[in-house]
Amino acid sequence: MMVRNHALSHRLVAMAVVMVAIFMPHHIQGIHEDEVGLADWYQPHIGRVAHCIIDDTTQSTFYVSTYSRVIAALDLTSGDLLWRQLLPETEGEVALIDYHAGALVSASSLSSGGSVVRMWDATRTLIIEVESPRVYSHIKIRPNPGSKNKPDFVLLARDHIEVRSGRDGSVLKSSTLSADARSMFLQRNIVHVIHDTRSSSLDMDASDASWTASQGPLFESDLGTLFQDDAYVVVDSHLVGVSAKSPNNIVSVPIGKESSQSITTQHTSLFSSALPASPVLSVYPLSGAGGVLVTAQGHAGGLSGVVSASVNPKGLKVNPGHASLDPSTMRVEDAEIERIFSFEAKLRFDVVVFSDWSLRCVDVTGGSVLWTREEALASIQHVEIMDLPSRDLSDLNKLEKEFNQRGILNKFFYRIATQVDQLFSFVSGNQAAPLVEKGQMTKDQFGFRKLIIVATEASKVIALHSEKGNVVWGRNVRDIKGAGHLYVTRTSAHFPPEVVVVGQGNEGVTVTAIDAMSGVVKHVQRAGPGPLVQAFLLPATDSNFTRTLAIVAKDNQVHIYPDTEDASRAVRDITTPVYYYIVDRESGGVSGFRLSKGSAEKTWAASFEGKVVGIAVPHGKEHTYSPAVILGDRTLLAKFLNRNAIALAVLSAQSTLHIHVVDTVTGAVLHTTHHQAAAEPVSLCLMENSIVYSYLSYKTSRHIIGAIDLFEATIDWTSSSQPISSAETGAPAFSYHQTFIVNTGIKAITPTVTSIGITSRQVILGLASDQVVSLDFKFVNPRRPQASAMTQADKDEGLVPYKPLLPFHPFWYLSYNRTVARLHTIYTAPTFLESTSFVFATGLDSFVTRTAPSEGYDVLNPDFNYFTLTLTCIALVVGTVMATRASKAKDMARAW
Amino acid sequence: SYMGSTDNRRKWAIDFNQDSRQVQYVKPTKQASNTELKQRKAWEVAKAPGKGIFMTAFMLWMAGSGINIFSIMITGYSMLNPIKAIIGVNSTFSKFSDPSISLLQPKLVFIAINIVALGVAFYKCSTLGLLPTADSDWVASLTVRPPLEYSAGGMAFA
Repeated sequence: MMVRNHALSHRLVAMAVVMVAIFMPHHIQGIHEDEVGLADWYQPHIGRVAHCIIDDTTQSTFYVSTYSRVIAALDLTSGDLLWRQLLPETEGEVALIDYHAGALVSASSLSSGGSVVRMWDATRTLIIEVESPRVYSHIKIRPNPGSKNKPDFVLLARDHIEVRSGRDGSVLKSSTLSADARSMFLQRNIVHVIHDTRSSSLDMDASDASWTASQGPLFESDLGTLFQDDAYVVVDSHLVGVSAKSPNNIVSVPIGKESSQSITTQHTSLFSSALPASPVLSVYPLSGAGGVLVTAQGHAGGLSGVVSASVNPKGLKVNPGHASLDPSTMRVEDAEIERIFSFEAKLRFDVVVFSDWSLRCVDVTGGSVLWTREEALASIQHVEIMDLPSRDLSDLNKLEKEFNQRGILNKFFYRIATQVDQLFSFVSGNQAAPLVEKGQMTKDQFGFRKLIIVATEASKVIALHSEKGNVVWGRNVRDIKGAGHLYVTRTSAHFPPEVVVVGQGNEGVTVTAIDAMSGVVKHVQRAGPGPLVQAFLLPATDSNFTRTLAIVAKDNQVHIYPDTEDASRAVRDITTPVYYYIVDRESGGVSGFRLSKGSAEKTWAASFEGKVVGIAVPHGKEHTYSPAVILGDRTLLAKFLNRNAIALAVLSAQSTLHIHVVDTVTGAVLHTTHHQAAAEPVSLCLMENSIVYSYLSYKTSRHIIGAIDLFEATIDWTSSSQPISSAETGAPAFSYHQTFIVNTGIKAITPTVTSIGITSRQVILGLASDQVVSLDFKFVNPRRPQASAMTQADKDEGLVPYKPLLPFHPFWYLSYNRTVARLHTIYTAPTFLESTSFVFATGLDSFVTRTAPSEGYDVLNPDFNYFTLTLTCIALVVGTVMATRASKAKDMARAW
Repeated sequence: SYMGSTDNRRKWAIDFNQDSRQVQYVKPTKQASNTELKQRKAWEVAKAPGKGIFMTAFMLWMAGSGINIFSIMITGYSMLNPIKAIIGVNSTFSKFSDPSISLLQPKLVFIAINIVALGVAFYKCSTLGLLPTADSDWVASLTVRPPLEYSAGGMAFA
């Protein structure tokens, strides 16, 4: 009997479990295969193209090598990435490449000296990889028509030339030249090497013993004095380049002949019209046809034009096809043509690299741009995530007026007035035209639709649409070197929203204000000669609702953006004490300044021994919902909250990692912890009263995640909502600290943010394997108790017993089976849904997704049955009406 | 005897079993016993909720400690009923009102017993965790104080 009872209870429990499993939908965080791409997108990039070679057999694929250590194959007709190989970080920036008949050879220098020589087949399979002690400057495949074997290839180092086997990469022949070589080209079985004033040639079919260079005089003078920028191309035994003596001329020099006469032609005879005032001429070889492409470009109203001509040994001849190319079709925002790779001999396409890193394919006959690859996105440095504006912006001004009113009655009257206005305009039908057309550029109900503004190493600012990652606009910010710093000076609550790019170039510090919706530059302001040290938003807006920005140059010269009287008055009227701090990465010094009446005054300085390897500031949109943590026994633990505190990770020369929490107003070090035998990668983040950081413990050869929670001694029940000074806040009374072992290096840590801060939090980790992982904060909660010391209160609170090892569940991988190549930083932003946080991971690639740390408790499942709900409601209403009638009829009948 | 069977509502009576054929007038002394009855009834009403307490307690115990529709309903009623009874104490005792008796004592007892019943219900509430007795119940009244100073900055750009 007992046994049977036991079995019954077991069965009941099992049934209960099954029922719970059935009625708890989506309790799993991971995504199904068919959900890939619904809430996320991924974009691979290759970076700025350095070398480009077309597949001359299929003519539909071309191969590129970029400054981002990438070798890739692209589709010529669509620009799509066919495959990509990432070269290790230990190798030099650009790999030399050559391609012929299904074999792609590459040579890249190693930081430790020497090179790696590789051969790939057309489908990215690595066939050969050999190391060489030399650093090469040129690589060429020796075509072997009719042979099934992979072709041999020739490599040129300074004064050394070698032929390597296409079978195993071994050196077949090598020869040392008498002088350093500048260039090399192949002509059937002959290798021509060009020196300063001589050329050498080697016969590749000659026997090993006789494989030496036969030399001949080439020029009467140095190559450098002949060609501009040392740049020339080899066409049909001629060197062709822009003349150094007169930049408007093209020089053509025959190679290896005793008579080394040069032919020069003036460019004006080449280009009939549409040339800018001072053109920059450049020459490119045309594969196969024995011609050369000459381009001229310059700036005239922000336009870059390209016109070309072909050169033959006798002289230069305008190529009608190229000459008809319309400069206006080559329009890119203030960008110049950097390189043109012409496949014109066989195809009618040019692949053009612009100075903003964009790669475009141009139809040379029609002049139209076939496709554009925005490769600046491979170098995202700074990110601002903005909400899109609401469609009903026309009413916004009225609303602003309403909310600026004082007193409930006033507000009420304005509310009524606004609504009456709306009613009238609705009835009369002449509603004010919306500023933004409904569609992609307005915000959606859940706030998932955002504008991701990125500043790139190419000095280009690009706005990406968060839904599919398409480029909304791109603006090449002139006068800035590298990536500018981004600030949102006007949010989308005021139309049009505005972003400001602060950067430094030859003309000093430049502040460029850009309309965030259209990308149009609205204002350019110079802010002194620099050097630019820091820039930050001020707690003041001018009368146009533009946030003022302080730009700090060296010696604490402070400039204010916008440079209007209105803005400077707003800054003067700031009643809040304004402080700023500057952290010096190398010296570990931190200085604090007070900004008052437009001038800065140093208030404190702190010096930490070592190098600052990480800095964490509270997320700008972080909202603290509760100042206390509720424990399992329903008592409270007061969080230590200080919005002006930052966390610094300082790695000393003795390999000790210090985590300091510093008050940036007073300069007080509020909390310090340290780990010995620590090494990079170090990353850290700060959220509310918690710090989560990671480092490599080289003593134990383990990657560690540490977590610190700071608390106050008591709850201040009497506290008002009055502002609190940093001086009053003081240091935290006590802290919890725990470390966990993870089995992977961590490159980035970012906490999720939600609009109100009720939802539990996750830390988003960027792993060394370039994957993105969401880790629930409960797993890195420093209050995780030892399993043996676990109390009922701990269980009630939902604390997870402490385990030193922190394994990542496969469902936690937000990037599922993808990798975000060279993952660098992760950005998060709140959405209008409290449950959901927006995640943007950048590196060479870009990846966007959403995460719901407490699951989507505020949304219906996508498969929610609205039809049944509607039907039930209608049925109920109908049923109620009918039942009421029936009951009335019955009452009446009874009354009779 | 019949007479002794005390029917004090009759003003007079004739007993034909007796030969005297006299009308016996009932003495108006019965007034006193009427008020006494009222008093007794008032006391009965006053003590009535006491019997219910144990039943209520038993029901509440049976409802369990989980928060569900039954436990909430039972707790709700067991709280509502005593409150209603206390509020309606005067109307409950109005039928016993008599200038010659004082209902104060039974009323007080009635209220006291209902307060005890309420106490039982409150105890149930506290076991259900519905009473705001812990710190965590007042956490919503805590505000996050904004910083007085504004501070910004970061790594030096150059």
